[in-house]
Amino acid sequence: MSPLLRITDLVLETGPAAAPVRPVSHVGFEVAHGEAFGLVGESGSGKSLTLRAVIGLLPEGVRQAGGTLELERDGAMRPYRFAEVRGRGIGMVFQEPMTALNPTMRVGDLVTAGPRARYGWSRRAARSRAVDLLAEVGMPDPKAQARMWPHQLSGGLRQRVMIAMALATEPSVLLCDEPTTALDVAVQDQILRLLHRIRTERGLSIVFVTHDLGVVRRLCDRVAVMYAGQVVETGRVEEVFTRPTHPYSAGLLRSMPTQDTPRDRPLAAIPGGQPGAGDRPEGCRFAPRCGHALPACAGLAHVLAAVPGSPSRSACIRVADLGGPPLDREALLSPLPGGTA
Amino acid sequence: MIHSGRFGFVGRRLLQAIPLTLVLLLLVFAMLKVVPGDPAMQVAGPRASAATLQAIRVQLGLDQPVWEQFLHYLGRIATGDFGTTATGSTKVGTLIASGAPVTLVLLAVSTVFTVLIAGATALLAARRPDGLVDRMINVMAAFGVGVPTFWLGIVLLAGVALPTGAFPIGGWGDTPATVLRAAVLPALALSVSVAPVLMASLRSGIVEARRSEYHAAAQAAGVRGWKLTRGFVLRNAAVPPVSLLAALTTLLLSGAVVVESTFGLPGLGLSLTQAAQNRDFNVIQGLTLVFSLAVVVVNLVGDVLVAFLDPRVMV
Repeated sequence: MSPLLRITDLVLETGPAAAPVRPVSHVGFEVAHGEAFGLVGESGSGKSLTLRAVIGLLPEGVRQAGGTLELERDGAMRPYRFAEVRGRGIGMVFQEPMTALNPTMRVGDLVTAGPRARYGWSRRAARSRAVDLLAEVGMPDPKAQARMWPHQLSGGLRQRVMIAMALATEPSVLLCDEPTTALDVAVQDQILRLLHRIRTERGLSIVFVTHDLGVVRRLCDRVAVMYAGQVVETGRVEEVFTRPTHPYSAGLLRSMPTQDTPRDRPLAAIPGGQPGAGDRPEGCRFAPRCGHALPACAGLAHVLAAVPGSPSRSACIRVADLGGPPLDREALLSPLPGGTA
Repeated sequence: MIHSGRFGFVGRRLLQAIPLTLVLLLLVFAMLKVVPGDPAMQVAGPRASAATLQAIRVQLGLDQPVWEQFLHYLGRIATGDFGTTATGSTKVGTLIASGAPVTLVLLAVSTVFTVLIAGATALLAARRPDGLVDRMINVMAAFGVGVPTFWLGIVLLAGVALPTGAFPIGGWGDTPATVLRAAVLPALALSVSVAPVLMASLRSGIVEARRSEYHAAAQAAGVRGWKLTRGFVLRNAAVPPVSLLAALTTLLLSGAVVVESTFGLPGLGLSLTQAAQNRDFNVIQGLTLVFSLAVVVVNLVGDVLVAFLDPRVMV
């Protein structure tokens, strides 16, 4: 598959320019046409900042200090300016549908705010388009709901409105920043099915940021695991989930409960905690918590290298020695439940 | 359904204003009952005989029970009868009718000034929160709040009206053009003390809206420029200042009393000052009622405006 979005060597800085702190350092990944790409990691790993940097919506005080952002246009990868891709090529779904929908605007007006500003649609054209979009994202009564205010909708419906708002601009890449985290489990499932359906129907590429490995497994083709501001492993989901090539990913997967996990034993956990952006160790940042660490790890330059005998790429130099029991393929890779959203 | 929600809200607020108005009337009525001095003696003079005083009391209805006097008062107000001035020469209603346009124009012009000053400075200050411009505007705002309105009025008269000759030194006009010209300086003096309060509220609203996720979401969808500012910043930021502006009307009204005296404008404020000096109770009572009702009405309008700006308040 040909690449659609490519992020190279992204560096994000905060704090004074003289002594900056880097919440994200040298992150890169590539998303192909029609592919769902997962960016997974715990809070503070820099996954959400990375995603926001893709569309240039970094929070106040965080700045991009390096890196190239490219989008495919007319068959070639080209660096883009944010004004070019916002509402034209890249769309974004935010985590909190309550705070990400302007409370003073009707749902219908909100959904088409982008194309109205971008292409100068007439109000009437925008209205009927809004109803179509609301129907596409599975709103039960799109005509009536277009006239409602965001606060009159449930969390799940609000997130559907958010998705419709992002789709209104006909993006080729949809950035999703933990779009199901604020929702309850049943609604989470509906939204995941919806995203899966839209992706299939529209041939969209999706970049999905989450801390939920189960969501990655269900929705994504490829995944990058982030730790302390770096990508430590990337590869196809079924590979990473069954044969992780980094001790951190392996630890994450072991700590994830499956249907067969014995209930009377505590879940496996990685000892220690992720270092903050200000106090990250030299060399491999995971080494202090790693059971496989060697003295050399403390001086290691961060490189995502190909792994012999695996399609994944890993930042760990001990890949060959990781061994360990293979993870239960069946339990980890239960297929996405069928049906439409 | 949504529309009935809005109209329902307006209707409920109107209904709530009725008991409020009744309480106001009661307070204004009670005001006269608690001030020291005998109204009958006021009319008849200090050397009147007891029989004369009693006759006047009966004539004024002061021998009736208090609640009957109140009902009587309500009836008079309902028919627009506010009584006569102390000298008996003019009806208080006529006085109010002649002064109200002046005060209304003054308040309207100064509201426009307040909104313009507050809006412009808030947008400037919010460009870079805690930046140089923001700090300078903040210092100026502190001055604005601190400057006494009467002093500023005199400064404007001496520093602007006298040297330029573009504005009258005092008094009112008789054509729309002269009226507006006469209103500019007093309205400005009035706005300077009120605008900073509004500016601060608007500024923080703008900063907050720019940091919000809905602002980011709109940007992600390609909304930018003035459409972004209008639809996703100002509209949200305007909600607290609108209700604040309604609340600030009391400040504007009391400021108008001062400014009308400074500039010699024949409005309600000037009448109130003169009535206070002459202990003219009917006038004071009538004007207090008018001012209070104005505050009730303005707050009502403010609430409705807020509801139209932010649908979440209609619960």
